[in-house]
Amino acid sequence: MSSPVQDAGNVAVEKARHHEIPWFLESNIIRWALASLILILLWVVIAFFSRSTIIEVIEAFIILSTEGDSGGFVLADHAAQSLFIVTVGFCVAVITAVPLGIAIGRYSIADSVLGPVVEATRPIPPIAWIPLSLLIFTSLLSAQVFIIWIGAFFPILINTTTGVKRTEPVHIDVAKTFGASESRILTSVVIPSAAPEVFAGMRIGFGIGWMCLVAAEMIGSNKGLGYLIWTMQQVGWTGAVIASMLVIGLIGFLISYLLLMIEKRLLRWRQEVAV
Amino acid sequence: MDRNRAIAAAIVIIVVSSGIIVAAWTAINRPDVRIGYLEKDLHQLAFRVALVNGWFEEEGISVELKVYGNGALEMDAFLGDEIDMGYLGAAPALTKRINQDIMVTILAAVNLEGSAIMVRKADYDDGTITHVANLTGKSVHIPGPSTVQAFLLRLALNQSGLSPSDITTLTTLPSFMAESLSAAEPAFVAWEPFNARAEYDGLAVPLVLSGEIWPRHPCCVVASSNSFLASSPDIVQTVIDIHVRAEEWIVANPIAAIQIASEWLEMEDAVSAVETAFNRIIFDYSVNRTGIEMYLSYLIDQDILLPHKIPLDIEAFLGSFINTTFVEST
Repeated sequence: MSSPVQDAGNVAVEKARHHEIPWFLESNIIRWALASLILILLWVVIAFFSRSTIIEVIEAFIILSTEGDSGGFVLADHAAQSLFIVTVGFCVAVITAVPLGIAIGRYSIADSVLGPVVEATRPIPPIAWIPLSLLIFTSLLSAQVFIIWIGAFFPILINTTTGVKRTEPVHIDVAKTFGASESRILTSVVIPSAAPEVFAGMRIGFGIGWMCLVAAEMIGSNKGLGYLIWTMQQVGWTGAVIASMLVIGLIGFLISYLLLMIEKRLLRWRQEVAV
Repeated sequence: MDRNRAIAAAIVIIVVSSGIIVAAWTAINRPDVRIGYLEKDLHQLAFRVALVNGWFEEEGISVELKVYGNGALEMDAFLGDEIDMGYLGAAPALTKRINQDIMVTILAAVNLEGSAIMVRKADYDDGTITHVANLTGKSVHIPGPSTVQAFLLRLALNQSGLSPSDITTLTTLPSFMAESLSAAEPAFVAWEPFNARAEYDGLAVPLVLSGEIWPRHPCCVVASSNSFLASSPDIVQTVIDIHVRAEEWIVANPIAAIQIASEWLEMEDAVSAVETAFNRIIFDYSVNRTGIEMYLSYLIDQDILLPHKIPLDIEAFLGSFINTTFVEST
């Protein structure tokens, strides 16, 4: 049950948002048409510079989906391989970054010791880790997962740390007053409070991990969407390069959307979240 | 409203004037020729020798140098009109000339041979892999499915009674290959100096040299865009003259050439490795046309060329793709 003051506030916010949108964009049809127009213009620019046609891209998509590449792997094999690598790298990033982020955000000793380490290593681009990853890991798959992990780890860590630090002190004080233990405070106050930021970090982390795909598959591979882009560029089949890029974009969008849906479902108590 | 118009006008003026300045600057500073090459690729030593010895200045032509990561990227630079001439592999030149209609012509060879199948030293020393046939069931790193090295591996497998399906190939950047070797992935095929460097570091040893698989096989070439060839034949001739001079100088002065190579590759601490690599390369400007034709057949056989792009008349295509008159006029 909301108060009259809250209702008035919500109406004001809604009005303010409403006024920000120009009248001609109020129709969904026009918005979709505008988005389509931007995509078409973007394609025109890409087609001009790549000397490709949409027919070539569709043709490449069909050939790759049905007949496959010279190695005999179809597009679904490449997509499955990429999804596997990114999913493993992302899961490892979640498992490592969330607890570490909670520790850094909650305990000043962890913050003072690990904070500078994180800040020093965070700006190093994932691609720069490739040579070292080959020395650290004996298998190429592990090296690839490592590159994805590097890409996904820091956004999750930073967002988790920020979320934990933003926990209202008064909520923690109330919990302490009622005699809650540290583990109870973490599970009942800190983690739920930080959850929106953690989820946002996971979505950003997945996106960056997915973006590291081409670099990770350049290390050594015979399957994967990144590998496909790399080899098709070498071969000079631009239609296949663009088709692979579109598949990467589509899968990335779908997974980001899926994570958003999970976030909305698990965090129904908070305000609306959006991409 | 007036303020907004003034800001908009200022932005337009800045953008337009910047464009004019950039265009004017580019036109004023346009060199005689823009040459692309692969950085620290020992096969392309002739170009480095010409630069170090100042032969372009001596001939009175200004050169803009452009470095690329691989020959495929260099071919894209031809397509984007970034370069006029280039030192690159015959494989990417041929593949992308056909698949992407990038109009270039091969004018001279840069080197022949100079690749090898390398195997992990531990596996070679303990006798596990001493012959290509021992690679059955293993993974081998290659620079890419459309490279000469992939073709060399296929030839070596055939010569050892194996088929390509007996092994798995992994596409890997040559600079990462030696570090990537493991029991399951014990071999790689690459060009120099990656092989000699891996040998020097104790990571790998040569299983078969490419000259043993395919004597005098084509490798790097000098190519020119067809438009530049038509518009500036004199400059092209001068560049080819310098190239021929550099090739002959390398053969006549191997010690000095190895010294230049060591500095260029930043391997002054490993001159013996550079010397090993140097001795595995044939520096020759004569184009191996038969070899290129053989490689073209491989590309067709492997479905690497787009079916509708495959030349109907191979002889006529090669006649237009390879032009040795500039070398002959030197």
